[in-house]
Amino acid sequence: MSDFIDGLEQDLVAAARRRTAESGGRRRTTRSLRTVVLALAIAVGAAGAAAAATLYTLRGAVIPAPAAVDVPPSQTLVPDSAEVSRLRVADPASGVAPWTIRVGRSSTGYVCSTVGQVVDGRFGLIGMDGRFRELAVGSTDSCGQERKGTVTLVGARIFAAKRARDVRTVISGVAGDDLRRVRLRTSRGTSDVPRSDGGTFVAVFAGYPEDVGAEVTLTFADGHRETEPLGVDPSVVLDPERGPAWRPQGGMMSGDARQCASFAHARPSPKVASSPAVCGLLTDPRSDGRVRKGFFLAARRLPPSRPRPRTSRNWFPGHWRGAARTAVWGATGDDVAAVEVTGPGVPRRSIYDAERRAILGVFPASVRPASLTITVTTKDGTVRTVRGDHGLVDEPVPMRMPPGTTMPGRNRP
Amino acid sequence: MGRDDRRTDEELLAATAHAPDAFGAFYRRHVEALLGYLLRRTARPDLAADICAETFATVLERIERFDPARGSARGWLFAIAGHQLVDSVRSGQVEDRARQRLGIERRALTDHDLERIDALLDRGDGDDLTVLLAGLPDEQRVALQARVLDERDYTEIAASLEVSEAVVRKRVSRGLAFLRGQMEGGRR
Repeated sequence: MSDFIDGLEQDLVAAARRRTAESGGRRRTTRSLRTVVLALAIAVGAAGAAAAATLYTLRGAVIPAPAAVDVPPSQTLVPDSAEVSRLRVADPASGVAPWTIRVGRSSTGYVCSTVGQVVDGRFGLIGMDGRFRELAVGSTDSCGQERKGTVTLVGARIFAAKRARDVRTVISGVAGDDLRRVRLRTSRGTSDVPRSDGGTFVAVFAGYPEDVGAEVTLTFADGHRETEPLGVDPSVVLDPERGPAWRPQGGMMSGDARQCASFAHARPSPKVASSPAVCGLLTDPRSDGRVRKGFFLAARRLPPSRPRPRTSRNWFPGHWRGAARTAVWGATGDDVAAVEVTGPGVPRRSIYDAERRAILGVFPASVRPASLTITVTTKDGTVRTVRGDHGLVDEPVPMRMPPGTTMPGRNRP
Repeated sequence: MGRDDRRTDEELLAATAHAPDAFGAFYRRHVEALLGYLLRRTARPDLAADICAETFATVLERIERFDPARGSARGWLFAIAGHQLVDSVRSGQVEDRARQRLGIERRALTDHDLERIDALLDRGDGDDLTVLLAGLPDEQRVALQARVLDERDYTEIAASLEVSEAVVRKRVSRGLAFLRGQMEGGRR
């Protein structure tokens, strides 16, 4: 093995250990935002300063396809089968080549699709350097088994970029000749998505799908509808000022019986905005901690502050980093069924993710926290109404450990 | 052969949350194939190494989002690598955001590293068993891996999979027939 291969393994395992330590082994499975292409099968499948980015200036004018050895037959495109759709969907920026989809068949008969742009009849991508590069015929985003009368492929391909305005989400799919209509719903509005032969469709917008709550609904000849929540997730909260979406975070400090909650941008980035952590007791510290009841929350106006680089070591920041917002955030026990908020200019709505037992609502900074009425309904039908912070516990509460046990890293001789 | 080698990719990813070494096993199983794949597409070992590192970091970061019902772990890994590669071409540089968030620094490559990665190019002879196995249905792949690669006997495999010995034999037989077809087809 080389130093690089061995060293990278050590780095990755060390990072995995840090994540395990931070989560206390309680890391839970989160539902994926369906931001990568949905398919039955999706495989396609320096000497220099360590800190410097590797520049990728492709010498040739074609982005090469994977070698045959690297892709299983189900994802190996039969070259003659690939056809660029007649669809041409304008990029949000003016003067940029339109987007489309290329569809073909794998050697095992799967339907494969690739999104790209068209310039002078050629299919490829325009780079940030403004240069067009063809995507070789064997390059596919996804392949899946054809399904009659329903959707075969649908997904959102995200083209990330350093500058937010350069990020693109291309929603595309293949749904067969029975497809009659595709509607794209986002926080910016609802629109019909252009379709073409074989039920291919393409839509493109600037930004990430979760920031606008993107969702497509397909209607078929027999009248049935299918909705794909490509940027919708119960835990993700849209930003009221059309900024990046938010997601609650929760956890416990080592040796502390309190539960803590904060929130941050849903999509991780080196300079992610994040809220202060607030904590409360959902368990009796004298108990074994299995039964969690009640709730705690903060309702505050958060003044503007510059986001800072975020690492796994400052997961629970002490103060707000982000643009000015008013927010309600916290956590509940197992006995809570619903949490709603209402106030002047704030129509009544849920701010509760029952699966994660997390409370999160984000509002413009013009909303006064004290004007917000938060209604908490428990499973036995009891309704409580609160304004402002509720149930917060600022000081750590020692966790009662069963006899004979010690906290990891503590009480060692 | 370590215990990890007997677990499926999907089991290794699932185990990573409480047993971080499982991710090391997943990495070791696929790193050379992934480097070879990236090298064949970029023709530059430094790029292949950088994209490979970012790909594994991304997999680790998103590990809770992996859903075996939507495809194999290997397929997921290579799909992420493919997207990283295309994004790198588009943006003109290889991202390191996932590594930054995980506290992993970019590693400098020595001449030995570059030679080692370059050598992976010669391995692509079209009969890479792991690639061929990836094209099999899960149950055949697991049975074939246990019988042919791990050399376990049918009784033991049947017990671990909680099926009859006859079922295991049938899965192995069908898997081998599929592989024969693929290898013959690839040589035509």
